[in-house]
Amino acid sequence: MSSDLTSREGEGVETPCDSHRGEPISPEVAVGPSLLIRILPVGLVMLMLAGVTHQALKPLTDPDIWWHLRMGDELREGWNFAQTQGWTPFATAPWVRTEWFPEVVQSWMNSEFGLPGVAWLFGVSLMVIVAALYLVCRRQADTLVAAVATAVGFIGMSASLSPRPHLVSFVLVLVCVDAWLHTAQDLRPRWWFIAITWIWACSHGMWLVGPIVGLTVTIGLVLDRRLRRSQAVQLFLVSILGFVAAGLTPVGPQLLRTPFAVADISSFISEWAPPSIRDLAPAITYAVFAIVVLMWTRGVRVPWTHVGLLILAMGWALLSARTVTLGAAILAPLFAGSLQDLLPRAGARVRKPEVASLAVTGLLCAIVLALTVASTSSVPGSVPLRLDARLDNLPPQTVVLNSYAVGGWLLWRHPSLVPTIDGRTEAFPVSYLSDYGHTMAVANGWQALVKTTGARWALLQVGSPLATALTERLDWKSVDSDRGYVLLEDPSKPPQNPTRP
Amino acid sequence: MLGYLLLIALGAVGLILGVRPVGDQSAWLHLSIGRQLIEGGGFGRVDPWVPWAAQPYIPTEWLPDVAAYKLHELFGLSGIAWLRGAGVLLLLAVTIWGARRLADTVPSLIAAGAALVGAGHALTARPQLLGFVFLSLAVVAWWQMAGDLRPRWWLVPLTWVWASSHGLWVVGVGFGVVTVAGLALDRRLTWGSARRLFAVPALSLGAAALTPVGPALLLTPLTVGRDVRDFVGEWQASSAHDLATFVTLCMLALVALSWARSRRMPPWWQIAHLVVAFVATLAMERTVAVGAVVAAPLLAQTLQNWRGTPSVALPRRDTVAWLAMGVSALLIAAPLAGTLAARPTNVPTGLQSALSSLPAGTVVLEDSNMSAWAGWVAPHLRPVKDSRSEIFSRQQHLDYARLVATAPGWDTILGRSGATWALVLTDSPLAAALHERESWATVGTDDGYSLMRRPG
Repeated sequence: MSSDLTSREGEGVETPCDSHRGEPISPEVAVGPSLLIRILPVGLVMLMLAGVTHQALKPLTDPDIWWHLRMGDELREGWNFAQTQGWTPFATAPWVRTEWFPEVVQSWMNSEFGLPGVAWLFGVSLMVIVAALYLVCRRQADTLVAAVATAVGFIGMSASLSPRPHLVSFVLVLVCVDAWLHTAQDLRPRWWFIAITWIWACSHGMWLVGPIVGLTVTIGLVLDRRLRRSQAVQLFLVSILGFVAAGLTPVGPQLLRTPFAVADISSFISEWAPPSIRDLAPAITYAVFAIVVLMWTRGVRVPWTHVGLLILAMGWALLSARTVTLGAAILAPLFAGSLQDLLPRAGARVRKPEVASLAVTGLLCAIVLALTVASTSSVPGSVPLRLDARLDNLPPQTVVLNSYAVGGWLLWRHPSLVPTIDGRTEAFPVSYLSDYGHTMAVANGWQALVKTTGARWALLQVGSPLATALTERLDWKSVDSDRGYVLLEDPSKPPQNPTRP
Repeated sequence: MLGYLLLIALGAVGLILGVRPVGDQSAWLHLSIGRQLIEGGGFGRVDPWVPWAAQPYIPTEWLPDVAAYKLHELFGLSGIAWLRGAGVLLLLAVTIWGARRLADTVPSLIAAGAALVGAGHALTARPQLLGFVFLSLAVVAWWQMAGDLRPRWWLVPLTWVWASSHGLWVVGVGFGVVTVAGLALDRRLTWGSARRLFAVPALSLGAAALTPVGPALLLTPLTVGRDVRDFVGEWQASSAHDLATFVTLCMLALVALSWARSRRMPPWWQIAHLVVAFVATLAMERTVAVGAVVAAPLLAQTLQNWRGTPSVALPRRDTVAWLAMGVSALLIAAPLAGTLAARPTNVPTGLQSALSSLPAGTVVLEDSNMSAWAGWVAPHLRPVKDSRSEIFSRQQHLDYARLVATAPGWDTILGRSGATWALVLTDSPLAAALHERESWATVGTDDGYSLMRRPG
């Protein structure tokens, strides 16, 4: 049977760096899109900016935001970058402050403007992501294609866009891909990316993505035989020095091992679970991947740089629910570039009015957000506020057997208490996490952890197996409940310092 | 020589994977169904095993169920293990055959080996293994049809047997439609050839309507488990962390990226095959094997293209030698099965006599992984719920989930079920709750399971 492949058109003149994929984008050809076609896409991006502004006009609900705030608060007090100790005796694994920079910024915003300040920062971060996504795609394609790729890419990225330090990673991965795609065109090293990697390493544990993207593109260029030895050395140096820079943050060289620290505990963290094609963000990302591959198989021969980036993007998109966002971000400019191949090139040079209109829209959205966020985000969401008074009156160092989702809240709002678990999952030993899961499911032997922690108070979800078991089998009493959480007390042990509100 | 070594290695892996003690829970279910069809008069409107089931059970896999039960009567569990071994070897043989038509021996064996790993979830003692053998035959047939545009009418009677064996027949029909559509996009079809090729899936659909189950079978792909898919593990989305999924995705990535780097464009029908394989691989754990089987010839062709030379047909002498090796493997599998697989595994056989001695009609709350085995060894008992997910309503599944998680109201559900005995995991929340809350007594434990009795 024949292999049944047909020759590509124009094969004789095609080289790996044909088209926008491999060489500088040519000046606009004489294809003049109508004014409407030029304005509409930018209008779509403006609408997206307005949409993400609206997204931020809500109470903060991410359960991890609270312990990040406490991290930032403590660091601002003494600028001690050493491991955090003493929050809870159950978190015995070493903890490295990998996200200190955005934590400090969030903490400062909270101290100056309260929680609305944190929500405003979240909204502005989303706007920056939308704008960066558009500009990265825009540098690969004209306005219409870039706007479509931005919309699709943002949906792909949407699953992990919560008010946490990882937003820095999602902005910087776009900067990174854009920088390296341009290096793939002009072969010039972007030394400034070393400084970006340093900032990234101060901000979030996904900093490793930057050097990995750099290495991928450089290896691709070597395979494409487009580099002289000196050029290859320079480009490799950008990534290698990025690694070195990450070891020189205030946290010290121990930061370099943190990307590998989650391997053992990833099964305990839902966002590190494998993504499902039935969820919108992964489904869209996989569809984009399929479209890009389809375009590439029917188009001109693709350089290794782009093949490498596509493999990297798909790897992230398949690895975990959280890294789908990285995959979508890397895929978006590739998607824009492959879509552009279907259309006459009308102009990939980003014009000043275009940038200005986006900047003005962003500024207006930021102002509107600043004016309105106080009315929507001053009170936290999804935490049992009505129980604060009772929790405040518990003696210091009281152990509270808590749901995972309120651990961060207890750490920040009730720092004198000792929660049994919180969102810093890496800080807990694997055996402890396993026992905690066993107890939460009320599996055989569940009472062991209740006893060893010495907890006589519990803050659990109403109707959870453990809350049910504590009341039905150990006769714990429900003290109060709010927003789906119930505060339970073990009446069999006398309170050390009962101070009821 | 390398080819023969690879072939022997693959055959050995196939034997190891196939000839194992029976431990897959569904094997017990299908043996029970075979017994019911032969001895019990089939399944009526009221289910004979779980009278409170919401839907009647349609035995869509009646043919292998009956055959497996008959084989069990003759040879016991060793016969079932041999059958699985034969199924694995047959799947491997058909995959190699299809790949070898496109590539030389080594690339075709590499592709078939990768497909075997990718199809790992399907290598069980269940009718679905036969379904995948038929699928691999259909894939080979459609590659042949795409090559010479001549219809393979034998797919029509094959689909009748397939539809009597497993629900995967609908994938075969769909695969044919996709291939014909791809050929049409490639502008390789005349009106007449398009009509003839399209007649193959159309007549196959008709053949599927003529099984003893009747035309209702055509609707089962749409209706079976429609409301309860959330509750069936193998119907959940697949994960790239899983070896079979990972290997299948790697196969597809190699093909796709090779195309992207190639100086020649692949035809649309092959692109369609790639898309089908990609979607099937990511859609659910159960269909990863579909992706692997469809990907095998694509990978073989890609590997051959990397060689840069056209493939050479297998000499007649080697064909005879390969067939002889296959038959030898089947013969070797028989004594191996007798030695290795006479006893079941992963089931609490120590509790079998206690279960068998319970009065007929006793309602037993069974762990979902053990209900099929319990139904096989103690068919006179009535499980609260068994492993035929599609016959239970969504509410029944939700109630069972609450019961197992001991969520609020679990004791009411327990009381309503009428269960007086329970076969549950010893370390499970339910075992703890039954003991601590309801004072149930543990009668016996074995292999991680406890048999518990309600007090009084």
